Amino acid sequence: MTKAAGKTCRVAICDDAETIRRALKMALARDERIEVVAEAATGVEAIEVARAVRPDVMLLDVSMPELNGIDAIPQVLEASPSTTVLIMSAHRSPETKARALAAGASTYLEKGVGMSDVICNVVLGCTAAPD
Amino acid sequence: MSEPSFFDIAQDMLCVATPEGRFRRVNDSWTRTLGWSREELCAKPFVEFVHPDDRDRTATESRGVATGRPTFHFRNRYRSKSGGWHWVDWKSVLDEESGEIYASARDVTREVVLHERLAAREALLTTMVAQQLHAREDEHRRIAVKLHDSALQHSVAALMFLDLVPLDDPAVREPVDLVRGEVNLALETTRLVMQGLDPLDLGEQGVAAAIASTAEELAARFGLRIDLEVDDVCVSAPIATSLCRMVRETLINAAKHAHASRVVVSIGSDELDAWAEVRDDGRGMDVVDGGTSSRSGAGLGLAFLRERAASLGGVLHVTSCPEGTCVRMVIPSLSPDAIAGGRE
Repeated sequence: MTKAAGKTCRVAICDDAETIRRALKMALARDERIEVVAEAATGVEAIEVARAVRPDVMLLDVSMPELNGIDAIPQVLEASPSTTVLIMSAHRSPETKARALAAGASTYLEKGVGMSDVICNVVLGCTAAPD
Repeated sequence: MSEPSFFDIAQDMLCVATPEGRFRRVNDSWTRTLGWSREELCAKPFVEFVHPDDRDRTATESRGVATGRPTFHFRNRYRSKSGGWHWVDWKSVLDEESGEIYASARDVTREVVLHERLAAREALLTTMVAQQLHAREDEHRRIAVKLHDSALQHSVAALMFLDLVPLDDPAVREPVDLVRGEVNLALETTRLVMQGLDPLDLGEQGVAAAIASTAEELAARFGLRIDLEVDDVCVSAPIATSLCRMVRETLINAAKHAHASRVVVSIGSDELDAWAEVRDDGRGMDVVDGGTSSRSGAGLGLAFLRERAASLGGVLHVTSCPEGTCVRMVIPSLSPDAIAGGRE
């Protein structure tokens, strides 16, 4: 099953750059379909958030201290199998994208894409995520 | 001039020796060079004047000469009367009629010492260059991390914040679009710089693949046609990395400043040097005394490339005309031992 239409999409933002978290939070908060339920600044914190909050969608950066986003994905999904992981990174190399998708990410967004694209992917990820 | 006086004025050490290994006759140069008198030199087997480490091969060589095989290139050490050691180069031949050995020896001690010092300095220089290369790569990594964590993140965040601005009012939309354009330009420039700083995994992909990857990236970015003529390059990883980075800078110069549409990159190496050549069809530049340019704006980039090549003991040659520019960089190869030393 996928999430029922009309249900608020619960999103966690994981990025070590505070300014990115703030910008994402402001942008996502403007969409009534989305609720930002948690933030994390490291890969380890992302796993803790997944375990504690079980968000519908996790926006996950790649380069983060302690544990990078790609290496965190398996543990995030183990802690919260219903979470859809969207990687949002400044890395553009095909190898990094392939690694992220192989690790379990649903989508790979390059930082710099418009917020409308980000919101669209978050909503799609939420819809696709199993209940 | 009679033969005996000619024998005595020679600058080299001349001698006549018996097949049994004793001097029968020596000239004055022996005494001037080693301090021993003629009598002292002739009083005992000459091998006793030879450095202990050189005695076996000296005896072997002497036996060979005594059987008719001349010596053209033989070097050993002779002890002076003051206790020091002199390196001596030999040429000797058997006089079949008399059965005696005629030999000419030259003191090459100064030459040998200078050569050893030069070799030591070369080794030191090589180690220093290797250390510099490693330090530069470390610095590249540090700068790339800083760019990623600061300029890039702030640029991305700025774009996100701009997306939050209502654009219904044209008086707002136009400046916002201008700001977005500027931020995007800053973001792309930051990415370009960061990619140039990325560590190159030459251990796995090799120089040819690294250059091909760089060429592919820059060709797509600048709409360049880049043809590669890459030979089997066999150089140490730091040198290969330097070459790849220099080629990258030259390609960016060709695209951004010379407005080239086609570039040919050649790379090769031999036991002494590694080199790369980048030829473009751009608008050229003014090259003054083999120096940098002023016409295209690429002068600063070329100056950096020249400094980088010089810091590695190499050179940068630039030739240019209105139909294009050729930049050739040549860097001495480094031994693997030196690279290992540089990493310590």
